[in-house]
Amino acid sequence: MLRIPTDEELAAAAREGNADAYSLLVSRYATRLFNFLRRRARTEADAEDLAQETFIRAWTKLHTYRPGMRFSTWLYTIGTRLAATHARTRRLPEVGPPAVEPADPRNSAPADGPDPLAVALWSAADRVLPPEQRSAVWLRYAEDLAVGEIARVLGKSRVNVRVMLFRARRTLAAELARIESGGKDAST
Amino acid sequence: MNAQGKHARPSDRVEALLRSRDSSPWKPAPESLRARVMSAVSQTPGNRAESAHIATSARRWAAAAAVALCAASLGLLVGASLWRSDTTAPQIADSAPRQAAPIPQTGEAPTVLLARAFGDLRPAGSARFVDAVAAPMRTEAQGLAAETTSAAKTVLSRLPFVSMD
Repeated sequence: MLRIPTDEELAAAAREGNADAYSLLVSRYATRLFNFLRRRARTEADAEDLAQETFIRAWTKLHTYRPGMRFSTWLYTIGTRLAATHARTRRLPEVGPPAVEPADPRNSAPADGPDPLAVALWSAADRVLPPEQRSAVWLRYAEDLAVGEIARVLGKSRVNVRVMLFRARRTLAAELARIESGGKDAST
Repeated sequence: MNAQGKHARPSDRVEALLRSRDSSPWKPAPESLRARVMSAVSQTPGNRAESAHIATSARRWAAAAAVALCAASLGLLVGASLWRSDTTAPQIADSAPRQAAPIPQTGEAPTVLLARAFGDLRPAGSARFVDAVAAPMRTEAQGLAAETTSAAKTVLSRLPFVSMD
């Protein structure tokens, strides 16, 4: 019976010098890493460069990877550090992807696609949340990572991550109210 | 029913919306990314080879450092023992100042002895000092020596039982 190897098994094989195993890991994680780094880079081109650099750094540092750890957590941790270094050396604030103003969610009826209100909310998250909160929200709700794993990726405590997520949800709740009221400031 | 209708608290609604199916804005990675990565990986030394190389290199450096340290310690030890056994070599004790001659017991007070010693040394010391100074400065040196002598006399004259006469 054919069994699909786990990420950790592929990482163990890559650690022994198996480039094919690493190629498979790159295929699995290219989109995920790229989308995560889009939340921390200024442009998509920057995110692509950061993703490439992260994969290369991971390849050269595979001997430090501990098999008990999830590969995704380890990879995102490298990506987070590289993005922070990149922003620091270029003295640029980490900004998110260019937020695309979605169509008015009240006018578009959800057929089989995603909830337009949810799409508008993600767009608002990219627009209004600070980079750390944006990354935490992405890892929690898009990547479905546990709070402990997010804490490890972002180099924060679990409590810190919970607080970040709480504040992000509060900010997004205000944005949601604004979206539902037709774009007017929710506080007024 | 979509995610927005069944949650009373706003933050719960936000959470439900963020978790709702296909709502997160995934974007496919550029096609070139994987090719670029694998091209770079093929040119980068493999992690295993690199780590082995690093380990070998580190072991070599550690061995070289240990050998150098042992050789230096041994050299120091041998040198020290040779130096100690060599009687012709200058010894620390030789270079130490010889013990001063004992002060004759005259029964005078220490302050009187001190004043006398000063009086004995002063003329010779002043003369050497003045001779050592170049000719144009000699007058100033003589004045300085005289002032120093005068000041010393003043200090000593205030000590009990001392007379500079």
